[in-house]
Amino acid sequence: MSYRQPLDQQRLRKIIEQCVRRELQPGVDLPGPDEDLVDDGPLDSMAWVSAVRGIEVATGCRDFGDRMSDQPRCFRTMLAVLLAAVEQPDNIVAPSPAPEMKQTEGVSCIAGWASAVGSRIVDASDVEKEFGLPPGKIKSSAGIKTVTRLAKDEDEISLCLKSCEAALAKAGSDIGDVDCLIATSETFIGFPSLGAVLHARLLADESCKVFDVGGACVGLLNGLFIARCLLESGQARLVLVASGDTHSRILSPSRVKGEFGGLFGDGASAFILQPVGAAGDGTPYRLGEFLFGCAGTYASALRISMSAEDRIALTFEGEVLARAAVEQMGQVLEDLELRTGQQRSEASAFALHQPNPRLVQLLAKQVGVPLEKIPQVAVNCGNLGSSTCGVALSMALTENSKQSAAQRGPIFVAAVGPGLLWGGSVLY
Amino acid sequence: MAMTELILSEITRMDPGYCVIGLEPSEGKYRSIRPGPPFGHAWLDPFPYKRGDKLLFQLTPSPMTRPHVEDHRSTGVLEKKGQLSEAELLSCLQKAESARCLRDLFGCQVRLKRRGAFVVGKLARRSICGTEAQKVRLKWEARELRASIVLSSCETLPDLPVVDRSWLLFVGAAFDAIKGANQGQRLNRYLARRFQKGILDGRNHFLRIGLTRPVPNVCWLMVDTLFPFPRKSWLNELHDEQAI
Repeated sequence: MSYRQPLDQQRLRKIIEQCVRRELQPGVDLPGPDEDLVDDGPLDSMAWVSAVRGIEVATGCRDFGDRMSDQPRCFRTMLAVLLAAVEQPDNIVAPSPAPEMKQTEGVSCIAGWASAVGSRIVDASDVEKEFGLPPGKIKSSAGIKTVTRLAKDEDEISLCLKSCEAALAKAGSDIGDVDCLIATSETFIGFPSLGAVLHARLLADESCKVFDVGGACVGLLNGLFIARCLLESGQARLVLVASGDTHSRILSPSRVKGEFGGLFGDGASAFILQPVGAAGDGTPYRLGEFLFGCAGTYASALRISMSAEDRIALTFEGEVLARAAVEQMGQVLEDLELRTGQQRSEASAFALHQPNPRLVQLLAKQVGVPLEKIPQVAVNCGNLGSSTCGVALSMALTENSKQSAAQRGPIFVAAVGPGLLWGGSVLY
Repeated sequence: MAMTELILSEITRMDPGYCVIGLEPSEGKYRSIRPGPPFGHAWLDPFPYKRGDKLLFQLTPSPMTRPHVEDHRSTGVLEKKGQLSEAELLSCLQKAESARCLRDLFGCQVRLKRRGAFVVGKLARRSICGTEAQKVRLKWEARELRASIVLSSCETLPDLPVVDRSWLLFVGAAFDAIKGANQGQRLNRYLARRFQKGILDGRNHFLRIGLTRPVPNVCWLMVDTLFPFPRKSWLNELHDEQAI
């Protein structure tokens, strides 16, 4: 049985209207059903392209724009084109079911979760001194109060292990039950890979698959998505997704400038995913729709590579990146709303990547979500890379999973990374 | 002939009976001595002593056969002089032969296979050594209790057979308690879940790892002693597990 909900006429009409409405100037009404949106209507060509892309993302009809190329650009035609596309199931990827759907065979859930941060708490003013920054640069400008760093006896592996073992305990599972381990890190350099090392240290079964996933700050979302795909295709029954990022060992004052290096902390997270039917007591959060993409325009805004003499070659256009990050994460949240039918106003929490707290405040204001619904990670820990989302999600799950599914709202997850990679998901 | 008092530290399965090792005080530390029985090579049932017992022996060194340099001949147990608790025994063992990493266990390279590990007998300096493990995982497989271990050096030893008599008796008692089909699977579930979580997880574990006799040049690693010692009361958890 497919868990995907069919797109009916009403839903398609709603998606079209929402995508067009967000491109309209304030105060402009929606055009009539036969009014060309571009020639006579209120959209210019760029707005039309944005609307088309929004419809493609929300419906999964990837060639909607091509189908519309020789057609009148009016609501009536757009709806007819989408209805025709729905009748060709190979061409469309319908969104996941809304939470009122009781039978969700094949849907996966988060049965266990945990996070860990470096034991050393370093005040932002000390970070400023360390990197030779003017007082207030990190604390006031970025809004970071403290960063968490590894203690002497800690490393990526120890933080990851702590998270993995706690997540397994929470799920009531044993490492022997895990048949796939997915690991991500933006700081782990070397072989064996992070996944292989965790596999050995956790004493996982030899038959447990290991995948190491990239994506930097989007890495955790990448891992969760792959886990969901494996579970729903029957390729795995219990998946452990782990992130571990220890920036303090790499982004030192001798290697990078402070405006960048001073923002980062050390942390890890872990999640146990399994099919919904396999979960024990309680109503675990289920993984819903995922969205990903890459806006290559911003690829040059952040570049990091190892150069000669063990230095880091860094290109960091802070302002450009900040604007792009806020804009794109806002777009991700909007696209998720369209795709899933879930409204951000109903959300219990937003587990977001947090480049720094000031950007989080800006994003919250721009997208109209209360700051208290965003678990604050960067304020006390710094930017944890892929683990930022992980730690935030872990906090959100801890806060909200005790409630029944009827009492709680969805959790929106969104992240952006160098490239500009972006990703998002909704958990029900 | 001089008498030697040994603290019994290992009683391990060695067909047709047991192999025992004891600790002799030596310059503020302890050294391991393996007293052989008066006849044959294995101590036979009934062997009424347990670990921690202080036993008196009359010992003579055996001809040196590397790596089992600890071997001694004995005339049997002459007297029981006292008894140490599990904690006291652990404290003594921690002052005996010990190593953090694989290389130092037996003074030579430990070669890992997908299942088990071995050394070349003539290259090893000793045949018993203690170590702290970060993580231990027990599994019943192919009719054997096996342990996978992560040492404090973060190296892994996969699937070593556990020959510790106490643990083997515990598994036997567990099987007696498990009625019905799929006993092996159910034992593994018990070892993996409640047992692992409550007993083995979350703390460092002290083990003593020993070597088999050379066959012909290869000595396989085994777990001779695993702390904590198993308790009868843990079998109650097995009943609870089944009730659930």
